[in-house]
Amino acid sequence: MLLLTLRRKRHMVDKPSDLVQGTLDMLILKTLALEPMHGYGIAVRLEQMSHGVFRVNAGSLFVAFQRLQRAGLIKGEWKPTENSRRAKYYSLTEQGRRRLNSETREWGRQVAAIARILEAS
Amino acid sequence: MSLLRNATSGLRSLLRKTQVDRELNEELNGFLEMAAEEKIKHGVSREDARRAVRLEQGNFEVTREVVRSATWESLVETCWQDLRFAIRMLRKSPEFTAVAVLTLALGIGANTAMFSLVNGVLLRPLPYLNPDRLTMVWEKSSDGSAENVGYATYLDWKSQNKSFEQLAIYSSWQPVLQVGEPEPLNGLRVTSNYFRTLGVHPEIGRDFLPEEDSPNTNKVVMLSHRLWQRKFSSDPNISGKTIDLNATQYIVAGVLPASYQSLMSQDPRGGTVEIWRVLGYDISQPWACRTCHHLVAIGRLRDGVSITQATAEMDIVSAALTKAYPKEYDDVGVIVTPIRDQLLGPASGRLYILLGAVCLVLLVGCANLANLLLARAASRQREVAMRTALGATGGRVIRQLLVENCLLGLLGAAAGLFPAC
Repeated sequence: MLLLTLRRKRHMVDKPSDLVQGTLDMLILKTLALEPMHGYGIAVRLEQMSHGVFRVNAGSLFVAFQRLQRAGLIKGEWKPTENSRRAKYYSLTEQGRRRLNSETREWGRQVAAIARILEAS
Repeated sequence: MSLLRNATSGLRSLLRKTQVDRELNEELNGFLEMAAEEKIKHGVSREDARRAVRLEQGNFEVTREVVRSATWESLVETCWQDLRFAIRMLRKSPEFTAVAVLTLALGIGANTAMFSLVNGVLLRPLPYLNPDRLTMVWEKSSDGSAENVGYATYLDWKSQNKSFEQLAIYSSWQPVLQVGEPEPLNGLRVTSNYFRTLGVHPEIGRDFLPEEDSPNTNKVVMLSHRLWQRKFSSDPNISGKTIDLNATQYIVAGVLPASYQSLMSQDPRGGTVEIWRVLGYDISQPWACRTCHHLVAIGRLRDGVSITQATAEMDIVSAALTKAYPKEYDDVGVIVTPIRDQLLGPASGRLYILLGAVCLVLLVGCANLANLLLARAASRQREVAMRTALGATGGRVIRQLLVENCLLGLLGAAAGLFPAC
């Protein structure tokens, strides 16, 4: 138990503080919904799409890949890149696609609810 | 489903560790290289680009560790490391290990041996129905010692008491069984209600009938499960057949269940009783007299009657008998003892004391070991300091030491098997 809490603490430090906890998985799924991508590509795309707000470091990103892969939401495949390098390309599984849909819906619901609360005066 | 996938992919990375590690390395390296190339495109020199990436992403080794330690199998792996380390540490100080293991082994071994004995003798329930209701009933002789009863006395006890649901008697009997090779057996002659008193029902056949308990009827016997297997090759139709004992024909009434072990044995060699016949006494027989003290009485108390109450009532019955037959009785009452006490004798108290003593021995051993470990811990402070400096968390150090001590405990327990046997 002690160990678990220690470990969890370490992760939280690694995660960018401006990223709401638990949303990294959803963002990765969303990024992969367009096309299969390798780790660096995903990091760059996340940064671009958020206009530089989210900078995810390699540690949290790869932990998330591992977690998503084991949950069966994404799968990885080694392929050559455009620079004739070998990289692991991640792509959404059918289950991952379903999860993305449900999480997006849920997220929308929550954001709307939070917005309603914040706007009420 | 995802739990299963998690387990299998965890197992895969455990079993094919190098490959999984290499893939992770390649992936992370690729990530850093691509990040650097991106910067080179913007006109930064290769060296500067690499340094910049490193600054942005932090230590590559740390990142790799973070990714690896996020999985459950990393716990298995580090535990395995700890175990190997613990073995090395114990081998490095063989004197300490030997003393610690020996201390534990002696303590644990003595405890195990003692507990097996106590468990077998005291804690295991007797193979009777409600054994706490069963008592032995003795005549109390003038010097206060317990004495066997005569048949006539038994009959009077049986008809006059109200404390016992059943009262039975038995005496020893050594017949020779003439089936195949003649074999002397250890047996008992019992009244027809003997098994009802104990609460045992035959597995095959029937119990003794009251009308069979007289001198001039068919002689019937009950067989133990083992005797039935051994001598009659588990014949399922044995009930009602005749067998030869002491050149006399006996009819087999039934076979007792295998779970029943007779604890009543007057055989000094302590052999188990394997055969029972009906007592078949009659008051007219000379050996059925009041002074013929050769029968042992066993009674089942009625519900709600305590041993004290039963003793008080039996004392009154006995006093009336002494008054009626002053020549035949010189005893002063009746002794009623719980069957457990009877079977174990005065040993039970001593056994518990012994068990307590060996528990204390283990405690003393543990205290000694704790002292030893404390002394060792003092000399290992530098090691712990070094580990902490290298980035081990408190939990990690505790786990490593815990694994080491668990190993020591297990070794002690394993070595404890030898004195226990």
